[in-house]
Amino acid sequence: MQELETQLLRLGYRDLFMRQSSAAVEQLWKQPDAPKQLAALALDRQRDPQARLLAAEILFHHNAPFPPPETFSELAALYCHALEAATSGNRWLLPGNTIGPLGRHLLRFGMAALPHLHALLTHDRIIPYEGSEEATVANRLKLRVKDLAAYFISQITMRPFPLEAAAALRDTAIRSLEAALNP
Amino acid sequence: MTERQQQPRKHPASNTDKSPNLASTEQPWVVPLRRSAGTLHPNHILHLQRTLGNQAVLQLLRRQPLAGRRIQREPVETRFGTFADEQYDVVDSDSLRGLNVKLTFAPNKRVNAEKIGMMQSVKSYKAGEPIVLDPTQKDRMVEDGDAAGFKLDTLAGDNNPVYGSAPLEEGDDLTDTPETDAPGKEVGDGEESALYQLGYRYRDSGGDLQTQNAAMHDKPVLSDPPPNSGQEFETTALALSGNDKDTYYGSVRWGWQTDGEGNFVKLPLTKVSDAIPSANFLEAAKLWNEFSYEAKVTPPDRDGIAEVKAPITLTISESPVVVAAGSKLKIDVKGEVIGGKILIELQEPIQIADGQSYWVGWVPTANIADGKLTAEATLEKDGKPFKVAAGATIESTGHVVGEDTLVYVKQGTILSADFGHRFAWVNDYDVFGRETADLPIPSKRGALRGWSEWATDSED
Repeated sequence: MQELETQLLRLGYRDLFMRQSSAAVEQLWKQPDAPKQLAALALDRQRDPQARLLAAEILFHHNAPFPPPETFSELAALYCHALEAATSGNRWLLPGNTIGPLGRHLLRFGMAALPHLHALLTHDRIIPYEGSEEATVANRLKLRVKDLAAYFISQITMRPFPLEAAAALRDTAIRSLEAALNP
Repeated sequence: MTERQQQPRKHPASNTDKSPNLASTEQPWVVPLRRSAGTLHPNHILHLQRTLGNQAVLQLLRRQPLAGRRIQREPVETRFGTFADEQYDVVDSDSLRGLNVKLTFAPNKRVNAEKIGMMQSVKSYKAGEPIVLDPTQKDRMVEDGDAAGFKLDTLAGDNNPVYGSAPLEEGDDLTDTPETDAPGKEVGDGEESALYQLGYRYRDSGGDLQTQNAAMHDKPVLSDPPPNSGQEFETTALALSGNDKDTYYGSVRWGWQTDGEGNFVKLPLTKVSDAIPSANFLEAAKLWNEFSYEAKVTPPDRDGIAEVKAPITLTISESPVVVAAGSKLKIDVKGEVIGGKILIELQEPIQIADGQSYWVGWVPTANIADGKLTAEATLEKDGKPFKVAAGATIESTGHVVGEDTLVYVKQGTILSADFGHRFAWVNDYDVFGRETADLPIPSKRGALRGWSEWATDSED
């Protein structure tokens, strides 16, 4: 598993998922017992969180029967940790409310993700966006970790969240969400 | 398409490209990533370039702060007007590197258009290879050839290629593009500034000349770009309505890159074409034109019931579920669209095309053979039952307790579901459809007004 972890960290998200070709992912997938190895890595708390996330993403990419429901909370914590440290918002949520791959996979954990997302509602760090028009639009909004967390909570609990409103309005909406989560 | 159509010959009267060779690092726009105090006015830079030469300017620039440095370059003349970079600043903040740009197109006397929109193709790359920043638009990126990595610069879910514009309504086309995204606001870098403004040049019914420059603001950036990274653009202006409709008014190239040593390099604004954009742009435009959103459900009946025509992704509470063709949905046609999504109610039975992890429950192990249910089964999720038809494709999670196995329903028919709610969110365009507004693609010589006039016009 150490070798797999090293491979994933060497490739990183960019070489695995941001290239036009999926060759790197397919090469890993062809390795012996890949689904089992990747699942084990994704769920191993002793391993590097970035490698665990990449392992989970490859499994999702291949629509593997993953993860087992009893691990939803564990993986939600992993994804929320990644959201907290995100260096690019594009993989999570795009302007126009298009949910990126990491965001979609986080939502799969459903209610199990709520406590972990809730813990991010105080995080004020602005998440940068890359690109051209998408970056121009998103970086003007200065979306914070807590905005994205609140948006994902809104999706899980089926409540609207004004992602594209001014920061002060988003703060008000976040307080409303918190109140609804902790009546 | 012939080579000649893709790259129209240069008009003798047009400006020639006087840009120095970018291959050399001995250029004033090679900006090492280091900072020092002091500022320098752009006019001084131009003056120094003309008097002392580029080497002296380079040395001076290296002493200037990087972020916000502004070097306005010579406007670029095309046959139909002038492209200018009213703002062309370096972005160098935290992890982001890129440019802060305001481009304008001033139509000249050859133009007769009531709406002129600006649009562009973009290639972003890191460590020498194109990257997909928006995974939902991977299909819009040119896969191979000289144009590999280029795509039209639009937001996901947008159906209008005009930079900065909101999606067009059903039945609208490029002619209906609004004049700006922020009425009453200037195009610029402010939080509330407009992203774009359409231009025009025509005579009104009273014979008075009406003219306005087209403009757009873009702030393209990449996070922590390694050496040999960058973003390359080709921006064009297109007549959206009026006498010249579908005429391209030329195109310009601009952007930035990091060289092999990681030095930041601004690509100067240079002319690509006097009329029809390059093959790189047109290849991206072809992909754009091929892309459209067709409604995935039939029009709702008087009760709001619609049938799924093509697999449609719903978000049921916490999970995405792909519902297959043939399923029925009840649509609140008067319901509010929130964040591009509307609420629908599932109607039983539900044909599941891809259940992922949502339809998960315990099923008698004896009723599983070859990955399928051999008999109708009542499964349990969150303590509540749902009934699945025989033949459903399932995936075992490997968890077996007693005589039951925990499975996902991957494909099959949910006959009934006794859940607390049967509501789901769905993209509004999946319900109502959305066409992309096509860009004109020259298919033969003279197919576009801009080209035909160019080819036959005498010098003037």
